Amino acid sequence: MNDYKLEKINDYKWMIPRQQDLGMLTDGIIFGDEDIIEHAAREKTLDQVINVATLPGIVGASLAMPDIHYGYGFPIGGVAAMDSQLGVISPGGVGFDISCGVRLYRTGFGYDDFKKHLPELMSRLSFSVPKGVGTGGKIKLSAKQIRKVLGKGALWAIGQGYGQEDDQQFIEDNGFMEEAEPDLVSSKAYQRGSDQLGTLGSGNHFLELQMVEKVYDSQAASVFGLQEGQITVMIHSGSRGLGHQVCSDFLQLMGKASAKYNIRLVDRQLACAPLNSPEGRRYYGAMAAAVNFALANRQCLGHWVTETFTKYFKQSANGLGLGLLYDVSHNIAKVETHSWKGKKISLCVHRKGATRALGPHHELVCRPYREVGQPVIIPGDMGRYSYVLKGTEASEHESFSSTCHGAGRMMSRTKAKKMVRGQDVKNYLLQRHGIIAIADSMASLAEEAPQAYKDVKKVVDITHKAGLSEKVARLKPLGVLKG
Amino acid sequence: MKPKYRIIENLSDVAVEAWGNSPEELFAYMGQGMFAVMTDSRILARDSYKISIREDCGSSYEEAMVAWCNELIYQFETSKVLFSRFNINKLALQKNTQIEAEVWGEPFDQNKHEIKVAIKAATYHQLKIEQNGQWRCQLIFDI
Repeated sequence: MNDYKLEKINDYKWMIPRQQDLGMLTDGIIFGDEDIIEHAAREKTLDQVINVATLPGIVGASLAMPDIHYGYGFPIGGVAAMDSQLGVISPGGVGFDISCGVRLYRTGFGYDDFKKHLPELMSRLSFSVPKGVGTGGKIKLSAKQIRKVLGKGALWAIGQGYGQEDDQQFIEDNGFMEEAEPDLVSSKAYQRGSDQLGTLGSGNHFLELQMVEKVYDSQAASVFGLQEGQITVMIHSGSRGLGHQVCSDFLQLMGKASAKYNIRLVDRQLACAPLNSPEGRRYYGAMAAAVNFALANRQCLGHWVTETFTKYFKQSANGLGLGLLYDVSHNIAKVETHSWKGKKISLCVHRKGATRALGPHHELVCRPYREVGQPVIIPGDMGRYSYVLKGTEASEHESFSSTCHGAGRMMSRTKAKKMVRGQDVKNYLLQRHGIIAIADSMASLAEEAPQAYKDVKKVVDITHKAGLSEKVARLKPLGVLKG
Repeated sequence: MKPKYRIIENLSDVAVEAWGNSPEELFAYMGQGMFAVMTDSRILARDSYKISIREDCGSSYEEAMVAWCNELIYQFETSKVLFSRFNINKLALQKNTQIEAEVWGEPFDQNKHEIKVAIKAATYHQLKIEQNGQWRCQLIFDI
């Protein structure tokens, strides 16, 4: 346990001043209220914020978002910007599920017209969306095809007819990272990905039918095409086994690279290499390829949803008003241009359990949303709500345009299973809230019970007050599909 | 035979603590513990498989242990086989870590096995292998 000082800057911002004896090259800054800070200190998560501050080439502070919790090496909710010439890149700063993320679709339905269709649609979706462990998807890919997916991401999927031409602009990075190097992804990762494209996975991944319960910012909501009572669809999934393998492969390699470049590691899980070294460049290219796999995965999942809707209602997606609102990544490292001390500089921003949140007028925000800022999608839990936020100009100076990503667990899976049975969760959700929950395994429903999660409202409120992003709408779950 | 591992559940991950009279035994029990994390269902040691690992990952037991566990995750995900018995025939730590093992198990069958947790990877976080009369290791898995 480190001995460190903690200073309150304001009600929602705290600082751990740089301490040389801890090897810190910069300060730590945590966005949160007293409760969050106290919890993070007790869980030793603040030590992880300090550890990230020891990484060579870090620019600005080692940052943590209000949903900070204990991770491996980096804290979850951690953001670190590295100088792209002199700094390092760390697979641990991205995580195993590379580009785990969320996408949101809007529909033309209001709740009153939709509710009678909900049970049948949920039942159909449970058949049309591959989920769970050990079950392959509907798409079997040859190595040659995977190579294309890794190169073109969601664009590959759109080209194959999974989705609509217009979807591209509503995906972070326009649907694919062009720095991807498919040849740097191992054959093991290729094999793990060969039957996993267009599959939801398990654990905290889900597909949800929702209703816009409340609009906070009518101007931004109208630009995003949202209004109260409207039905939306949310998908939470990542790069599946392919991404996990890429992270494992490079964590192993980086252990040696850290030694080679004389980087003293306070935690082996923080293994890294200069971004400008052969090892650093190789990881960046392979990670970008895994990001593309995740973007294609969510694109295909979205297509299974669209297909299910169009078959059931016997109408086109356009006719149903079904369209992609936005897709964001929560685990990613990207070379971006940021303003720092009055200059534009190139930084490799690691976001591990954090979301890019560009403010209004930023050139990387797609044209339809540019006036209000980038949509930020924050999933909550299956019993309460999720949120749509918008990026702010302030977050550029506070957190390199980064914000929170979700609620975080409050209870271990075992404890949740001891407390409730999956069947009870299912009954409670239906009888108390009218939410239909379908899962491959009842254990998974118990593990993901709403009470096992922190209340995302608190995280979102603090994020809003800290100016990292602003509330646009709250979404209530109606139907949940899990692995 | 009493299992020589213990599953420790943390807030958002799971750890396995394993013990053995030799490094080879320690690796075998860690494998058992890992599949016990994934499923409570009985896995028959019906078919035998050979696992051969050659990784250029330095010369520590910790690096070898992560490579071993990640190999088992990869084998499960690509061959769709669950393992329940492990025998390490060779464990050599030079520049190239070498592990030769024979493992027994059976194909994953949705009607027979319930996978309660999908393991993404073995982590290096707080990983330590020590010998104090017995060999001991605690490894955190990302789930």
